[in-house]
Order: sequence, then C-alpha cells, then structure tokens
Amino acid sequence: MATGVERLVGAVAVAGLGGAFLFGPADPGTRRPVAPAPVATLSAAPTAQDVPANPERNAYFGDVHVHSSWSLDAYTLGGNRDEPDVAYRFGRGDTIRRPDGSILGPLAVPLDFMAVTDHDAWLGEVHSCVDTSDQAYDTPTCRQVRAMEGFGQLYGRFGRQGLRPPDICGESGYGPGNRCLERAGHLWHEIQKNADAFYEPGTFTTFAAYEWTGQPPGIGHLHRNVIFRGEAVPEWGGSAVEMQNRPERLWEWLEKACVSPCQVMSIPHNTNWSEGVSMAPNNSDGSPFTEEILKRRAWAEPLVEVFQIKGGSECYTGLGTTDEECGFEKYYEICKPGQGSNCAYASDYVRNALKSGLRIEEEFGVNPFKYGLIASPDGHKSTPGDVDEDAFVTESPKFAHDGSLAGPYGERQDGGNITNPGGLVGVWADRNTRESIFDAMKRKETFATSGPRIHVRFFGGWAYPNDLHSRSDVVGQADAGGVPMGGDLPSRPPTAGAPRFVVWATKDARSANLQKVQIVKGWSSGGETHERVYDVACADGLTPDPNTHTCTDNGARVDVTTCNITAGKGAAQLSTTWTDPEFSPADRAFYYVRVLENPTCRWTTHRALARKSPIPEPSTIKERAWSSPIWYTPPSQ
Amino acid sequence: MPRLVRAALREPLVHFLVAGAFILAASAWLNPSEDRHNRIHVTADRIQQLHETWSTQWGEPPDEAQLRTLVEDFIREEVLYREALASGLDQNDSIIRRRLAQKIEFLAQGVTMTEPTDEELRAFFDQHRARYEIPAGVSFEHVFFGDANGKGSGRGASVGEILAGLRSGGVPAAKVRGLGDPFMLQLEYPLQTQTEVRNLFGVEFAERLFTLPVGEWAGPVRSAYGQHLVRVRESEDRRLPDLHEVRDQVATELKRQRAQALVDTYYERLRERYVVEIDEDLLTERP
Repeated sequence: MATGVERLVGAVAVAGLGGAFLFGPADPGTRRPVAPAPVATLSAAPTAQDVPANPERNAYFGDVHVHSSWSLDAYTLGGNRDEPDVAYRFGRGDTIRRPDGSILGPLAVPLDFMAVTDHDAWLGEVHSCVDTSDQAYDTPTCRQVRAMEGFGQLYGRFGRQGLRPPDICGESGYGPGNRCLERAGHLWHEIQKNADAFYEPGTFTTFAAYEWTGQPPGIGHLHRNVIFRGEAVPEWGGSAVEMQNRPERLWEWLEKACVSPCQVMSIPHNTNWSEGVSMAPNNSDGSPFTEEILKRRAWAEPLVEVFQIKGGSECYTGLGTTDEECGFEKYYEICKPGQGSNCAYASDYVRNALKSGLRIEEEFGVNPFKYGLIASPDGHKSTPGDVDEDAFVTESPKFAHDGSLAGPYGERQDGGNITNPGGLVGVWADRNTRESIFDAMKRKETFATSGPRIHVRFFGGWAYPNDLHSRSDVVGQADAGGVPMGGDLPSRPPTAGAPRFVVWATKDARSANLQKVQIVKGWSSGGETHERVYDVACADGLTPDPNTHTCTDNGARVDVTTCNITAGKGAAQLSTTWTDPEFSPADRAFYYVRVLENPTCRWTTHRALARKSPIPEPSTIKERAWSSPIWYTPPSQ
Repeated sequence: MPRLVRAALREPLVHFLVAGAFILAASAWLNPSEDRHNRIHVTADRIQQLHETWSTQWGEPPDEAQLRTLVEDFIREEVLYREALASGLDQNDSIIRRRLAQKIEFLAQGVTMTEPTDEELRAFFDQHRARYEIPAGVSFEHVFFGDANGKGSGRGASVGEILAGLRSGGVPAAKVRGLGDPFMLQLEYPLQTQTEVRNLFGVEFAERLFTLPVGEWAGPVRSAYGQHLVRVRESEDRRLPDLHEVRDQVATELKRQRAQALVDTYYERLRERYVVEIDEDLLTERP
C-alpha cells in the first residue's frame, strides 16, 4: 500500500486487502537474483559464515543515515509516506513506486550496506497520529502532525524540553502507561524485523538502528545515530526525550543496556549544527569532563559523520585553519561577535576536535574525539545512497524562480545555505556481513566520500620501504609492518626515524579523475595544537614542491554550460609512500588523507541547465574522500 | 482472498457507511422533519444482518441476550457516527476522504477477486515474459596494470609476456595476484551484469568483457583505471526464467493488475454519472 497513513488505516480495517494488490511490491530492479535458486530448493539463504573472506579486505560502500516516513520531520516537512522497507528496497537496488505513482531508481550502483535511522523522538507519536483506530487520532497535536505543519514548534515545545505531548501520550509521564513509549517499543521491534528481513549476507548488510535526536533547549543539535551489530539489542528505552536530550545519558544507557552479545556504536553527525556544543571540551551541560564520562564516550563513539546533505563538518576556512579546501559545502556563516546561534563555531568542525582531543588526552589520559570518519546522506525521503550530483532529485529542494534555492525540505532554513546530495561511508572489511562491516567501523577502518565511490587506503608504520605503494603485495606488507587507517602507530622502535605512510587512492569509474592526494596532520606541542596540510601525490606528472608541499594547478576545468570537463587531466589512481618531514617524537599527532577530484559541475548547475535557469554559485565542486586518521602517541615519560 | 472480502464485509465501518447512508437517505425521504437525526429505527433487516454476521463469525447463532447486546452496540455506534457527521468531523480531513474513497475501491475489487489459476498465471507470464528476464552475467578474475608503468611490477615483463605466461598455464593460481600492479577494487568478481561492470570499470571494459571467451586469459582490456588481463570464469546468457522460478512475483503482479482493472472500471462507471467542471484558468496559469 502506498503510504504510512493508508497502510496503517488499511491494516486496521481491511487486513491488508488493498495493500497486497493495489500497490504491490516495487518493480524489480536491474540486479541479478542473488541466488537463482533451482526449483523446489528450500535451502536456507547463505549465512554469514558461508561468505568467503578476503584477508586484505574489500571496500564496501554504505549509507547509515536515512529517514523514512516514521520520522516526524520526514513525515511533516518532507511529506514522506514511504516506510523503512521501501528505503531498504531502494538501497539494495530496486526501483520503488511512490504513492503518487512515480517510479524511482534503481541506484546506478546499489549500496553494500545500510541502516535506516528514524528519529526516536516522536516515533510512537507519528504512528498514533496516522492510525484512525488510535485514541489519540483526533487530538489537536495529531491534527497538527497530519496537517504537516509546525514541526519546529512541535519539536521545540515537547522533544527539546524533554516532554511528550500529553494529549497523544497520556499523562503518565515517562513511566509505564505512556502510550507513546509503548508504541515506540513496538516499533523498535518492527525496526529490527525490517533490518533482519533485508539482510543478505555477502550481498547486502543491514543494521537495526535509530537516530537519537537530542537537542536541549537553547543549544544546537547533538544528534547521533545508534547502530547495533546484530540481532541482540536492548528493549526500547533509548529515546533522547526521556534522557533530557543529554548524550551523556545515552552513553550511560548503552553501557548498561547493551551487554554482550549486544554491541553498539553511536555516531554523531551535523556537528556543524551543534553551535559549539557537540565537540566542546566539556560535557553537554557545560560541566567539566570526568575520566569516567570520557572513557564511556570513547567506547561508545568511535566514528563521526563529516559530510551529509546539510553540509560538511571536516573543517572551516577561518576557524582554526587557513586550508583553502575547507570551504566545501558549508551550511552556516562563521559566528559574528555576539551571535550565538545559527552560526559556525570552531569546535563544530572535526579537524579541530581531532586536535583538541590530543590536548584532552594529555590531561585526562582519554581522547573522546579519537574519531574515524564516515559520511552518509541523512536523506529524508527513504532513498538511501542517492548521492549523484547529476541525478539528485529525490530530496527535492525547491528551485526558486530567481535561481536561488530553498532548503532541503522545500523551505529555507534559518541562516543556512543550501546543501548537497550527501556522501557515502566506505569500509575496509573482509566480507560483507554484519559482523565484518560493524567491526571495521568499530576499529575505524572507514573512509568518507562526498558521493563518488572514490577508494582510499592508508597505512602507517616505521619501516615501510620507500616504494611500498607500487608493490603488488602492498596491502599484505603494509598490514604486517604497520596499521591501517583508524589505528594507532605501533610503539616507535628506538632506531626509527619519522613515521612513514602508504597512501593510495583510486577514482570512481563513473566520476572525474583524481587531482591530488593530501595528508592532513594535526599535533599538540607546548600546550597548543597545530595543523598542516601536505600535498603528497599530484596527478599529471606533477610532484609536490618540497618546500611548500603543494602541487601546482593541473589545469583541469569544467565548462559549466555543458558540464564537460577538460579531457586528459587527472589520474585514475594516485599513490605514494610518504614520510613526515617535520616529525617530532615528543608530540602527539594524527594524520589523515584527503583525496580531491578534478572539479565537476555541482548539482545546482545540473539542475539549472536542465531548467534553463541562471546557474547559482558555486557552480562547481571538487568531490573528495577522507580517510580515518592514524594516531601517534609518544612514549609516556 | 474470499476470506479477506468476508473480513471487509464484516467490518463495522463498512456496515455503517452503507447502513448510515441508507438510513439517512431513507429517513430523509420517509420523514423529512427536523428531528430525523434523532430517530433510529432498528429494522428487521438490520437485526437479521446482525444475526448473520454473528453466526458467520462464531459458527452458531446468537442467543437473545447476545442479540440484544449486538443491537445496543449498533445503536451506540450509530448515535456516535451521526454525531460525528453532525459535528463535521468527516469534513476537511484528508485521511477520512481518502479512506472512504479507498474503501469503495476495496469493495469494488473484492467482489469478484479470486486466486488466479495455473492457466491464468501461465498466460499472464507468457504475455509479459520480457518483464521477468534475468540479465546476462559474467564472473571473472583479472590482473591490473596501471598506466604509469604498464609492466608487471618489479618483473620487467611486458603485459604481452605476462599474458603468454598465463595462457601457457605455467602460473600457479596463488601467484596470479602478484603479476600486476596493486588494484584497489576486487581482483575477482562473482556473476555481474553488464550494467554492474560498467558502473565499476567503465563502458569500454564492460563491453569487451561480455565478448571474451570463457576460461581463457585475454586482453589487455582497457578500463577507467588502466589495462587488465582478464579471464572470464563463467558466463550466463540473459534468459527468460521458467514460470516456477518467478511464480510468486507473477501471481502478485497479475492480482495487482486485476485489482487495478476492477477499480478502474468501477470508477469509470461512477464517473459517467458526474458532470465535472474544472476552473481551467488556474491550471494553465503560471505563477
């Protein structure tokens, strides 16, 4: 059946009569059947143990941040009526049929893994409000939800205050009898069932997950996605509302509720919207860190999402850096003196947090910001992985007649700039199963891309040969003599010099060639943090200048009237073995890779050309990928 | 299906929609006074229907007490239903509008819907065979040579020499991996469609790959990344599956098509009874 509303209503009265036939399953995609099973074979689907493993690990691409109609904002602001199962179908490469009859998909390249992350706050409320048999159906708040208005007001009045709307949920507070919590508990089982139903070991991995939607009154958004490794998950109790929107209480709950064999991680995102709080050097209520809270946080949060439809969170030119590539897809302007909200703070950006984490570790012995990097779109239309600039339609930002753009939900967000189709998470895992993908994320062998499937590998060690990157057994040797991205350099041997890194990037066959590969280094020295960006491999036969550590411009350009790019520029692959030229054994440091493509048309340019309207600036982008860092810790005194 | 139809026909809301409309219309006609909303006549027909519904559901007729309870329930719901209508609760509620519209569609299709027979499935499948085609697939392994050097790393051998070595069969399987340059994507792929290969390796590679012989090393073949020596391991032509392989999908789609046809026909019959006017100005006006 077409929509959440009708589906629920239909289920109440007609037991799915209309659902099965009127709308039926989505059309098949272009995939081959997973196992074209012989007739009358009732053998079980392949289990995770049957999937062959590659010890050198494969790159798998995923989207672990997508909303369905079960999310209040997707339902109200986005008008989304497609439930989580539709999102899973779209992600695995099926076409989907919209309630309006339109057909979307298939994705050019299906996702290898994904998780639907609907908002915890209002999960039960939205369902009550679209179920005509629910006693809350005719309440004023439900009418407001169905009228698709006042999302901000509803969320601000209840969720942000740690309250639930009493007309829907009842007056019993957080305790037993709260109808919204009961309903959410039931839906949490449905979330797990959906994830389990679409899991095909070896082909398509899915996780039970939700978005913890915490945003205390007066401060920015502290949202994070909570992702469980397997079928062992706690009963529902994880909503930000009951936790008064405090992430410290989330980590506490996860530690208590998710005990072996349950495994979980929480991934903060949109730190660029947190108004200085998400990665501040103190707790979310401003109180000082304690070792206990830091340890729990470091355990719960191995990763951070650096890129999505609401902008980039890697770094911001002018906020702790002069790096000119940090102006990429920015949401807010830098805070002006006296301005506290809807603006960019230095601590909202991941590179700054990686740096401040080094200082916090010096003080407390724990680094709460020892983040591996991922990206995901955060789409609100049940269309995960829809990240191509030239086919970005499903998020449907409205294109105003003057060529300017409205926000991702069809309305201009306060103080914000328009965003982009979002990116993907890459992981290096030995096979495409829940266990392998989750464990790769937990050990931070992950990378982020702004959309294209750029592959990037990164290893660090003390005794790599200078030409390791060009040897055919590079991965085996790099693993044996060091650590992959996300790891800590082994203890430095007494005879060793500076650390050496193998960096390797490959273009997406469907996107532009690569322009250059950079290593971003951050370190702590003398009570202060520092950073430097090194170009380490340049395309087109160029080499980095040994003094400035930069590649000269390779001359790749885009014709924005056609989106044609300069032919013959850039590289399909770039790799090098790089030694830190300014290493100081006494300073804590991290290193991560950033890969830049030649410039291509931004999605706004594709749209403007299709609509023959003026092309908004910026008209081009340099798509990119970011590896997780490798850390160096000096020996303790 | 028949069970579902019965479920729908048993459903109180359906009864009340039909009964309510009937009662309102009848009472308006019989008794066009101001107080018609305050009069509920539980007719013999109605009691008979309640009796039958109970019997169908429980397998035995209701006793008098049960029947009286059914009548009281009916009256109670009727009162509330009329008050809801009188208060305009059905107005401007898109869910109720859509629900009512769907309800009548469900009823329309439910009346004659039956499970398709094997012959019908076969006929539908034959008529739409192309829809169920399984695309061609190729599984393969490859050795990669980057454009920068074009030689097997550290060996000094040319791509042609390496190909000759592979063809002679003198390279142990474990050594094949080491013949070329490092490659970031996978060196072996299970069955892939041409579209999948194109999206991973580029158009040129995908087109060549599907022309290569099975079981032999061939190449070099260009991709978006460089050159490859390729051995196709198995190749499956595109094919039409047998009905039994896709039976569930065929049945679902046939039923979907039939249901839609029923609804369309029903709607068209109803539509003929209406004179529709549309303010065309607003449709053509460009804001």
